[in-house]
This record gives sequence, structure tokens and C-alpha cells, in this order.
Amino acid sequence: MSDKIYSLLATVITLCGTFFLPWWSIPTLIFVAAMFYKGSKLKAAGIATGIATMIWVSIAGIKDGLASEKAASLVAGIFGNIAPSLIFTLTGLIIGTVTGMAATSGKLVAGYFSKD
Amino acid sequence: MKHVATLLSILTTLGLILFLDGRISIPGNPLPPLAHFLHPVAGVWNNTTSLMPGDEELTMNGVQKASIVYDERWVPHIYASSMEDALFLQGYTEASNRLFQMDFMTRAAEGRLSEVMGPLTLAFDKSRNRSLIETTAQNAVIAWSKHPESMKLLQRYVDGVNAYISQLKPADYPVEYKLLDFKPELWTVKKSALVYSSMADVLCGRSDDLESTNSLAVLGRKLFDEFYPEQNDGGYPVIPYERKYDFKNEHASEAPDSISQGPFYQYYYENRTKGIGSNNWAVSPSKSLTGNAILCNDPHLSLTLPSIWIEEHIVTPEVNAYGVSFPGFPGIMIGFNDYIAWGETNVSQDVEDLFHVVWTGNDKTTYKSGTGVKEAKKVVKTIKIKNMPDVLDTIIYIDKGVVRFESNDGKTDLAVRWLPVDVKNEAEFMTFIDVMKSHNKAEFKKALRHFNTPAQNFIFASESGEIALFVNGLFPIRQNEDGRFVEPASNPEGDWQHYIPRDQNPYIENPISGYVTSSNQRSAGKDYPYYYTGKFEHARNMSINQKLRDTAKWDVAKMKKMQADNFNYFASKSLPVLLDILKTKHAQHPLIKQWSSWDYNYTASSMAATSYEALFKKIYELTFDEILMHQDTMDILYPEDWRMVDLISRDTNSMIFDLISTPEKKEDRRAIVLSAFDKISTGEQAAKNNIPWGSHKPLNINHYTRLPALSVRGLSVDGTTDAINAVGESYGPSWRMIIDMAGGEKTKAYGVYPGGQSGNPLSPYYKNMVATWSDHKYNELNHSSNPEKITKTKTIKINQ
Repeated sequence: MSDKIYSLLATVITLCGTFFLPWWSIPTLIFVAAMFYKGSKLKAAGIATGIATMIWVSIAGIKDGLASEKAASLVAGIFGNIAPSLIFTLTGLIIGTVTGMAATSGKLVAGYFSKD
Repeated sequence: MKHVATLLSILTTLGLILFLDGRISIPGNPLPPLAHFLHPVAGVWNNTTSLMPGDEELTMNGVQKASIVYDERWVPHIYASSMEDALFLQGYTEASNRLFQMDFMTRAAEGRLSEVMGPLTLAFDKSRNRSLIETTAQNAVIAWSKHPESMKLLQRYVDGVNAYISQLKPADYPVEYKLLDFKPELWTVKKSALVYSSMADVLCGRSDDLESTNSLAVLGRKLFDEFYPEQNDGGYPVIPYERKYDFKNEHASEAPDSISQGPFYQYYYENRTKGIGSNNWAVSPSKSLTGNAILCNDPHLSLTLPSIWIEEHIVTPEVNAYGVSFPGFPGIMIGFNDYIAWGETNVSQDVEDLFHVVWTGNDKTTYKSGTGVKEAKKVVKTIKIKNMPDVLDTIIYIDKGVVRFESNDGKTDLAVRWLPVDVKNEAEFMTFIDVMKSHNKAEFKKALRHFNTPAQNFIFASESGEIALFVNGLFPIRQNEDGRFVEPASNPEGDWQHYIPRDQNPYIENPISGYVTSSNQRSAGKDYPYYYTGKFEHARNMSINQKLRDTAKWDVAKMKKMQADNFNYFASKSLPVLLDILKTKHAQHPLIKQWSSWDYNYTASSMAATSYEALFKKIYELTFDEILMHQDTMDILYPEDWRMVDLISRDTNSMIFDLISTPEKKEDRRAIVLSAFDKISTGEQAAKNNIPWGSHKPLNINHYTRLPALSVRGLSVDGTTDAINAVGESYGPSWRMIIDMAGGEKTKAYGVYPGGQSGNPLSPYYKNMVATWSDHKYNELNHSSNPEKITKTKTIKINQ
């Protein structure tokens, strides 16, 4: 599976997993997709992390941008008066870290089936 | 190595998924499942709201054509074709705006907070299990179920709440559910009864029996009577002296109850909140510039976010009522319709008695009763705790009530009897529904007959210009000092057996003074044939009565000013006397100059208020040293401020001024005042005197979870508990309302509470009225029966 196809698949998986499926379907399906990806472990994790993070942060950002009262500010207050921007970072980190770890795991497992 | 790396990677991924999904709980971790909470579609980001919400069209089974119009302050105006439908939609709108609050309040009442909050609230749950709130609610449901009309209407309300809950998807749960990671439960009639009994607990679920018994034991009778006289001769009772009573107490010859021997060397109570109370008053057309009766009400309760009140307007072919309700309980508690206006203050009579139980065995299964023993009943309740094993809680009941406080020695305990448990009126629920429907005083009075507890001073004004005030509820017949002290549980005949006949409750209609008023002071003058005890107000009633008496004509503007009045009657009585003493030694001191020019108003910017409070507190500590010296070893009864003021202004040489710590000399008032001044005008305290009142005693409006981010804290506002604008540290005028009762669409109505209509912290209507309230401003209440005359923010059309 090429970079392009893998990236496209990661985007579709993240969008479907965000809007229609339980959130944990994203790392689960990324794990499977990464098994068929030809690139390195680092690249598999990087692409998955980047795409998932970008999608979650973007949706959160758009929703908060359109809102009259900002969720980021409220949650920042709940979490101990941290900077609201950190809440976006945390939102991205949650999905990015797990998805990146799932992609790495997928690549590692794929190694057992590889002819090399 | 490769195997290890793969295994580690997979396990880490799985671990992360399970942790972020909330499947692995770490003890002490306060965080919600983060992947759910911060999910961009289903998490907290989904609770954000737009300033321009779209209209909706809904189909609801069992409801005829109706509409809910949200106005510019998010007040729902419910237009329905019957009371049944209106209450269904009231349930729907309250759930859609205040679901978490309703859920949290009822869980708290039932002792179930630990299910969602964890072990932090276990002690609270245990105390609730011994509070009789749930028993009261259960008894209420049993009684109401015998009244078909009540049950029909209640069930419609419950159905409305559940119609909202049933269509909720997890993504739409209120923020707090996502934060605490739990789901809403379906609403029940019992939950509405719990809301009702919780309010009863707030308003009459407390007595001073234990503190009085301890204080009597350590002071002796003579000093006790000096410290705690039952009557303040200078006060105005709720029902003025002009009301004469042409009946007798048929039980007057019965013997008073016996008193248990104190003191009880153990702490049972947290400090009592001072400031729970209320004001209401009404003037007749003869004292009104508009020619209409004007009614005002401001209940002083806990100020919370969301507020304990929700503003609502209900229109059916037979009713056009506007006012505030407790979320979770149908009807309008304080408000007005086209014909009448009504409001309440708490009666404050003591309806909770404590009993000293002497166990006859170590297992607390039998206790002394008369010359023999009686068996106690034990109920084991399971307390579920979030992320922890369940805890079994054994609650013990004796014939008179529940064992609330357990002593360290295990041989004796304290049990509680509470009036709201006693007798339930089957039609009690109908009180506020019938009040909403009332056209005149006769119908209003008829509606009040259903109401038992918590007893309220119901105020009334009508479009025809009538005004009235009713001390209304169920009251026990007590003999002298009954209910004032802990009684031995071993006396099977002890405590109240009878209730005051309903038509012998004090009331007044259309008095010649042209006004009626109550503010939690004593209900009636000394000639009222029944003894009663309680915790009564002594300052606000003086200010209100004097203003109402001295002002010839009133209008809405003057009423607004009066509700915002920060004048402290106690300060006005005591400070001139104190200054006379202090000027003999400290005439040039800056504090003396500051106080000399002070108008006794507790405005947020006042420095004099802060320094006077320090002086008063110090004089209090020195004067009442005989009892305060025991405060570290037991629950004591703190003498009331009015007694301190009374001593300062009238009783110069009282033996109470003499200090225990100096047996060699005899201090008098002058010595105590000068000593107190020396203490507060030097050192650390001197610096504290230079803080404005609003900063010295800031107001906190806390969210139910106490999370600062969901609360408004540190507000610098005017007011004090002894002023008409009775603002304390976390309580105060929870709803200010003024109604100029012209009748129909001509009635002018104003109201405000410190909060907002929505319970969603991410709504612009969550705390939008806090500033309006703290600035003493009001919202005009649009009570038009024509939905076209309402400024619309959102309309929900039902079955149209």
C-alpha cells in the first residue's frame, strides 16, 4: 500500500470512526491498514498520527469557533486553569498518540508475515 | 528483542485505548474518560451552543397542539391546550435546560451521590440516609397516589421529563454527565417528591435542640435565660398585633416534655448557615402610587449555578401564570397570573426534635422506653461508590424517628423526629397548581389548605386591591419550651401528639396599615394561644416594617430600591452607643471618624462595614465568653446578634459582660467595648479593616459540583444578612420579584435571579443574569398570553 492510499485510508477511517463508529475503531482499523502499508514504521505512525490529530483538532476548532461560549476555555478551567490552546493539543494528542501507536503495532505485527 | 518490542507496542496501544475509553480506572484519578470527554463530535465540544438556535418541530404522543417559545433570556413560554399538556411541557423544558441539576439534587437527597462522585461524598450520603428526606418523599408519594387528580398531573410532568431523556443520545448529554461519566436516569414521581422534601430539609430540617441542651447544661438556667431569651420585645411579628385571637389552646393544660441531661461532649453539626431566609411584602392601593396592590418577594436561599429557580410562563385556556419553579417539581411556586400575585417566606418554626436514646445492649437492638425496653428497627442500605466496592450502611430507627447521630461510646445516640414525615395531605401537590388557577383571595385560601410543610408565610395581592398574609402549614401543638431541648427517648408520651387546627394558624387580610410583610420573624404576638419555638429573624423585619409604615406611597421604582437596601438595623442601634463610649478615649482615631460618618449601609465599597463587623465580632467574643469557651469541646448555641445589640444598647451592667478570665475584677459594657476596640485597631486586624466590604466578604455562586470553572466566585457585591438585601457568602436573594398588580396584560412584573435559565455552562444563558442581579437591575417579565408578543429566540412547535 502506497503513501497516498495509506493516507487516504487513514483519513476515511478517522472520519468514519469520528462520526459514525466508536472512537476506538480508529486505532483498530489503522492497526490493520498499517499492516498493509509499505513504508517504514515511523512513517506509518507519523501519517496516522498527523491525519487523526488534524481531523479531531479541526472539528473541535470549528465547533468552538462557531460557539458563543468556548468549550476550550471551560475545559481549561476545569483542568486547573491551563491555557485553552492546550485543550486542543490534548484533544489531538489523545487520538494522535493512540493511532500512532496502533500504526506502529500494525507494522510490527506485519513484520512476522513479511517474506523479508 | 523484536518480540518484546511488538508485544510492548500492542500492550501499550491496548492499554491506552482501555484507559482513554474509561475501561481501566485508576484510583484517585479525577479525569473523565478523555477519548469520550474530548471527542470532537460526541464530547464536550458538542455541548457548545449557537446564539441563533434554529426552531424545531416535534411530535409528542399524548399532547395536543402546543408551542414553547424561548424569549431573549431563554425563558420558556409554554402555550398548551390544557394543564396536563402544560405540565408535560414544563417537564420537557426543565429537563432540556436543567437535567443534571435535577438528577444531582435527587441523588443527593437519596444518599446516592457516591455512585457518580466517588468516595469523596460517602460521608454526605451516610448523613442523607439519616435525614428522613427519602422517607418524607416516600410518604408523600403514597399520599399523593390516593388523590387521582394529583397523580394524573404529576405523571404528565414525569412523562414530559422522560420524553426529553428518552430521545437523548450520549453525545447530547449535559457537560457534567460527560465529565463525571454517567448516564441520566428516567424521572419518577418519587424524584419530584425528593425535590420537594429536599426543599423542606433546607427550610425546616434543622433545630437547636442539641446546642440548647449543651448550653443549658454548662451555663445553668439563670445564665441560659440571660443569653437566650425567647422573645425580642422590640420586634414586629409576621401577623401584626392588631390581629386578635378568639380561640384557646385546648391542650394548654398538658404537661411539657422532659429534658435530657446534657452536655453531649461530641461534635455533630457543621456550622449552621446564617442567612437562609426571605422577605416578602405587599401594599394595598391606598399606599400605592399606581392605585394597584404591589407585591414583592425575595427568598434568600443558596445561590447556585444553575440557580435553584427556573423562570417559566404557562398559558392554557384557564391559566396565564408566570413565575419561578424548582426544577424537578411542577407548578409555579412564586409568581402571578392575570388576577393575583403570590410569594412565600419561610416560617422558621422548629419542627424537628431530638431524642436521647439509651441502648440496653451493645448491638443497639433495644432501647429504654418507659419502664421497659423497645426494639429498634435496622435497615441496611447499599451505597454504591464509583470505581470502588459497595458499602453497606445500617440505619437504625426507633419509634420516634431515625438515629441520626451516633456517640463515640456506643451506649447512647441521638434520634430525630421531623414533622414533614408525620402527616401528608393527599392533595398537597395541588397547592401550587390551584394557586396558579386562583382568581381571587377565596380561591387562593382554599388552595393553601392543602399545604403542610415546609410551613410558609404566603403573601397575596390581587387585581381587586386586596392584600393578605397567611402563616400556612401544619404546626405541632407544643407546651412551654417543648422542642427547645433534647428529650429522653425513653418517655413514650413525649413530644407532640396534636396539630394546631388549620383555621387557627395566624393570618391577616387587608390590614388598616395598608401593608403586610414577613421576613422569617416570629409568626404572631404574645397573645397567640399556642407556644412555638424556632430560629427567628430580628433585623430585616424592623427595617421593612419601618419603611413600609413611614413611606406614604409606593411604586415599582421605590420597591426596587427597597429590595436593594443595605441598611443594617443592628448596626444603627449599636454603633451610636459604641461611639459614645469610644469617643471618651479615642475621639481622634481614624476608625471613630470613619464610623461617625457611616450611614450603616453595607455597600461593596464600604470600609466602615468591614471594620464595624470586626468590632462587633470582638465585643461578641468577649461578652459571651462564658459559652464560647466551650465551643471547642461540644456543639454550643451561639447567642443571637439581636441579644448582643440588646445588651449593648440597653443593659449596661449585665453580668454577661464580666470576663471569666479575670475573676479578680468585674468588667462592664464600657470595659468590654474599649478592650474590643484595642484588639481590632492594632496589629494584623488593623490592616484587615481597610478592605472594602465586598472584598472582605465576597460572594461565591457555586456549581453543584463545586468546580470553580463552572462557578462564579469572588463577586464583590452589596449587602449583608441583616440588611433587606440579605447577601451572605454563598446565599442571598435567590429571586427578586416585584408585581404591580393591575390585572391581565396591564400588570407590570419585574424579576431577576443570579444565574441563567440554562444549566449548560457552555450556553450564553448560563450566568447571563448574574451581573443584572448584582447591579440591582431587573428584567421585565413578559406575561402576554399571545405568543406573537414574545421576543422569540427559538420556537418549538409541537404536533403542528
